Amino acid sequence: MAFEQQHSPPLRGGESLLQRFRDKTIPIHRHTIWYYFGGMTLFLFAVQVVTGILLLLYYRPTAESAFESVQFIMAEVSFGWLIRSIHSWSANLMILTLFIHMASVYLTRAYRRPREATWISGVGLLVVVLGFGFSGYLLPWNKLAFFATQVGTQIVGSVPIVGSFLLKFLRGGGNVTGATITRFYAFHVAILPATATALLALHLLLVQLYGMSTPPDYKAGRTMRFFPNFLLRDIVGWLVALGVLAALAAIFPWDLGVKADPFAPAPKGIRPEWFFVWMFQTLKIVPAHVWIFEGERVAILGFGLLLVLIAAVPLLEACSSSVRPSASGWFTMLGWILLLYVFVMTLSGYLETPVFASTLQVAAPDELFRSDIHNQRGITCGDCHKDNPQPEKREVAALCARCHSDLNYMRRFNPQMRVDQFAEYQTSVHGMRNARGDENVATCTSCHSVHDIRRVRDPRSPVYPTQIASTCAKCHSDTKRMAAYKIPANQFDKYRRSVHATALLDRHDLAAPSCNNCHGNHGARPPGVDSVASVCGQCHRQEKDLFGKSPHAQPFQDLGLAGCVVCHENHEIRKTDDRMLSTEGIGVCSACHSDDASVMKIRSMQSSILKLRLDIDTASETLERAERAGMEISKTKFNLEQVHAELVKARVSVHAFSPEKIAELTNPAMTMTAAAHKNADRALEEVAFRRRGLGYALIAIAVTIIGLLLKIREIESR
Amino acid sequence: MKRRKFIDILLGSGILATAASIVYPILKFVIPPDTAESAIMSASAGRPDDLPPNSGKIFQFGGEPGLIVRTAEGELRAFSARCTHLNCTVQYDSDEKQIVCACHGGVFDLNGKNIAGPPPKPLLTYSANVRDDEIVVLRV
Repeated sequence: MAFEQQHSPPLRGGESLLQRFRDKTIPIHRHTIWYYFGGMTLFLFAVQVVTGILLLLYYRPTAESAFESVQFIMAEVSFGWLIRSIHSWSANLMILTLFIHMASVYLTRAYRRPREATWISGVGLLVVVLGFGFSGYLLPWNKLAFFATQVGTQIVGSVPIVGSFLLKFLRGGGNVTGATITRFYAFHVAILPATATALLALHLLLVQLYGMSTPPDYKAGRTMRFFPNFLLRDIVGWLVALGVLAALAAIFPWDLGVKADPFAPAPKGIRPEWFFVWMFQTLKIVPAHVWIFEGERVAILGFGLLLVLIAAVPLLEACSSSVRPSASGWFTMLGWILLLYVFVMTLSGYLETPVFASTLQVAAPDELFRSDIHNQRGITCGDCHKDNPQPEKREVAALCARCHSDLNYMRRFNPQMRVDQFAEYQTSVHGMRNARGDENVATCTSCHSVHDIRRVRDPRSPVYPTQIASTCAKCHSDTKRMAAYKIPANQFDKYRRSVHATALLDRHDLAAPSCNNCHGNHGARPPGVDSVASVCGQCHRQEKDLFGKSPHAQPFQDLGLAGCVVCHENHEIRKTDDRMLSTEGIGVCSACHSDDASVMKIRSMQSSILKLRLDIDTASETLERAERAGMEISKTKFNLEQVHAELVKARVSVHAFSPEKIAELTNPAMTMTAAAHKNADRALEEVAFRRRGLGYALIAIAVTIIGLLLKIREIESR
Repeated sequence: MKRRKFIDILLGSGILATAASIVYPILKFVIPPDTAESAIMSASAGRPDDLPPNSGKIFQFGGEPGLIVRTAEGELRAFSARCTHLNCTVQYDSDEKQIVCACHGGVFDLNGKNIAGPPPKPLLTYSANVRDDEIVVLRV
């Protein structure tokens, strides 16, 4: 596909550039289609300028208000969603058409003499456009953009010698903060547009001066006039692009995401914008060290060098072809290889699953004491074993207590450390049995380990919140051992199925209770019937208070019933369900209540809660449909969230066993839900309005395109 | 009608309709909406008269819920209403004169400090002032 260089004659005496433009002709051949991509990129750039200026009317470039101002544009300003979505979509389409334009120019060798400067100004425009993409990505200040910018600027920071300066310059400080937004905003709306305008003017001037390059098999004479024939065809392409943009904006409005929180953990799968993904992937596969240099720095240098080589291609090819005519074929092949590499790496970036390795290393047995907190504090073997090389199990607690019950000694390590553990242990079931010589019960080392004792807040410690249940289960799930004490050995299995274990062990919510929260740790013993509500009330305080004042409190006490456990079980506490408030099915009321008056009361309470829940579910479903359609509905979602908080309150208030109290909470909540539902319906109506608007706009564009095509035919048949 | 005239009319109406579909959204966009822009550093929490002593209410602060409390002594205090445990919305408990979370029983005192239950840290506090018969809450 080698193109013959068509050298345009210099401007003749008295011939103006306008005259040249008017007389300009476009060669017609099988590769003419590639000529349209430059114009298409220019059109999309113009769309960027217009929509960008419009967005400036409402956008505020600060960390506190950038996200909210974009949210305001999307939700409150008429057609704000359209302008912002078109701005974002056209930015991406512009980069795509720019890539196609550059690839076609490269592969058709249209960069050859005399168009070297045109090519170099084009490479400059590519850099500027990528700069637009990078700076614009951060401006909405959402989570993904925040972390992508953090990674992106960090990569720039790896540039040898000037890296740390560039990093600070780009970020406006050491970190990505509000100062970074201000800088990126300045780049995006002032520095880059000024540079782009200058480069674009030069590029277009050069295009007009030197005309189009043509392939070698082009038969002279087959041309069309630039104005109006080619320009009208160009406009047809622009109108198609406009239609595509309108459709993309109406059907897939550009997502705003979640506001950036610099203190939140990085979300899974962060990646830069699609046009930087191939670089990002390359950095991942580069080894940590290349010879004696850091791999990342080598890769960054490589990207810089690649850019310089691409810009210098016309000169390099001219030099090598003059020495060896077949060398130009190599340049084409290198171009194809680069394109293939970029495509494959981009694809791999989207296909790979993010991997977050976090494996804890377990110390080898000979290293046990090295990781022990005692060793780290300078305590040696002799400090425990000099008087008693092999203490019996019943002696262990007293041995530990020699230091751990000594206030003056412990104060040397931590003035706030408890010294009452041994005293507590002696009051526990374990301690009392141990004192009687029972070797089967737990002592300090049974739970804390022997020679690799770690701090309680160390996740590897057997008494870390997520480990405690398994540590207790070592003995309490041993059927044989428990049989001797007539204790069931299924508590751990039951606990594992409980809502508490799900929160603690599956969701890693360290505030969720484990065995020690209800039974105590050093003073472990089961809570008595009369103290169950108090134990549960440590966390479920409102429920406890309401229950204490409810009509159930006294009868439960009189009958010796253990409060919460009667309805919720003890170890196998399941996630509560509104159906539990019933005398049917899984309802827990049937055990005591069967009379009509009680059943009516129970049904009234349940129906208030179920009705509110149903209303919330229906409104949420409608809201989700609107959100999936790209509507900005954060305000209504906020209101519905507050209604949900009211539902939680109503569920808690069940423990007062008063239908009136529940209705007091559910009735206003239902009014709020109805309002939220109305807003959700309005959002769906807006979706329909957008689709209708898109339809009208597409019809208008289609009519114009048909008119243009007929006009072109008419002009050419004259 | 001559073919040429028909093409001109078709093209002219197409251009007009396309121009209208571009200009109309732009004109609508440049006219500011009636809703005021959401102030991020401050928010209104309603009228002081609507908040009697020993009561609290939820208000919207940006995209987040806030809690304004008038203590029994009449002092105004404002907090983020997001529980620091699992982000449920907290509420004012006028009986106990504390801030509580209904989800898992977290309890905060009237300085926002977590004093019981699972919340690992205090509530975010804001400053609350009365300005022109309106409670204005500011980020500190």
